[in-house]
Amino acid sequence: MKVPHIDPDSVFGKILTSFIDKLILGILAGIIILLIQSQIQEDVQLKEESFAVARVRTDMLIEQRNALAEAMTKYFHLVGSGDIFAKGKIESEKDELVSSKLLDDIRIIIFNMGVIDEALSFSSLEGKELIEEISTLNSKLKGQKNIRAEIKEEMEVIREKYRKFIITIKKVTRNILKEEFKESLE
Amino acid sequence: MQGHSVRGRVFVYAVCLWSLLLLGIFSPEPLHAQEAPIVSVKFVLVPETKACKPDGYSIGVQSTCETLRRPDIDSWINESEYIHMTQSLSSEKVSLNEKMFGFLRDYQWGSKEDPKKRWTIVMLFEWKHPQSGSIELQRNVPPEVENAEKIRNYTWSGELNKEYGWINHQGAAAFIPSHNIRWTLRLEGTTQWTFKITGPAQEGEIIDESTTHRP
Repeated sequence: MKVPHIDPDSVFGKILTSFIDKLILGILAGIIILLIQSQIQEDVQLKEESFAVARVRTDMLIEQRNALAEAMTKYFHLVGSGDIFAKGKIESEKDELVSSKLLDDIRIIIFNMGVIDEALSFSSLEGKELIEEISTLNSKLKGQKNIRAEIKEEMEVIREKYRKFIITIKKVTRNILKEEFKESLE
Repeated sequence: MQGHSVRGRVFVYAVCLWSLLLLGIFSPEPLHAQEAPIVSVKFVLVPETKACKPDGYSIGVQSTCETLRRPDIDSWINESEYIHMTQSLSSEKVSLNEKMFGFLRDYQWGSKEDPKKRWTIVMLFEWKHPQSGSIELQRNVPPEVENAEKIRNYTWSGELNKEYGWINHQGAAAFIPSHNIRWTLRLEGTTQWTFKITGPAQEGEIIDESTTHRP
């Protein structure tokens, strides 16, 4: 096959030359960008994977936090509606056992959180106060004849302690998340 | 000679018999041993500010409570307002009823800082025949519980004057079975009962009925 000879000095020749130059540059640039992109992708994937492995504490904390939310919802439901709220005391054996079990569940959850995060050990303050308030309400509901008038007030106090505790959990979870992310980059 | 000895022997026997009889009648101990009184205890669980008016127990200071009397305890029981039970001290184990046990199970996690949130168990020790003399209740706390729960070893004492009962009250936390606290009740230094608080007796469980008092 005969390649047509193009005069490089002609206008067409000059246009063609610059076009070919740009094409080559473009291809080179494309190749470089592709290479960089795949490297970045690899990096990101590696980081994601190592973070997924490293964020153990964060995951556990989130799991415990969800368990806490579930238990608190059950407790508010138990005490704030139904028999207990209507009669102002815990009467049935079933309610007796459930109220104790929920207090225990919440206590263990908070204990677990304290284990996950030793550095800040927030469970010693906000968590402890939450348990104490629930214990106080349970005791009143079991020890006295009728405290209907006080239940609402007590639940307000518990809700307030719960709120404070949730805020602390959020702060701690964020800190642990940052820590674990840094660790995963090492 | 034979007649002499027979009379002699009879005389000797008679003297012996008489002496024994006289000894029996005039001996310092009556023929039947003095029976230790049977003690029954009423436990009533009330808020601390009710047992110790007006503000609850003060720390490290001699009792500032208004004296509790039987009618107070009776009214709590009769109005069925508070958890209560009656137990005898015939066994070393005093088992809590379900309600009291259930209460203490949750109470142990509560704050003990505020007297308004604390509860007290009032004990009314009762016996059939009037007693006089000194009475003492000693509380023995295992060291680990003493440190962790701030419940101290303590002895309460009083004087009985032909009375049928004696009242003692203290923080309900002392009655949590897992604390393993031992109590000893002493009457006039001669009779004593030792007991421990345990959870509710399970069905079929045999409670040790052996007497524990020493005359």
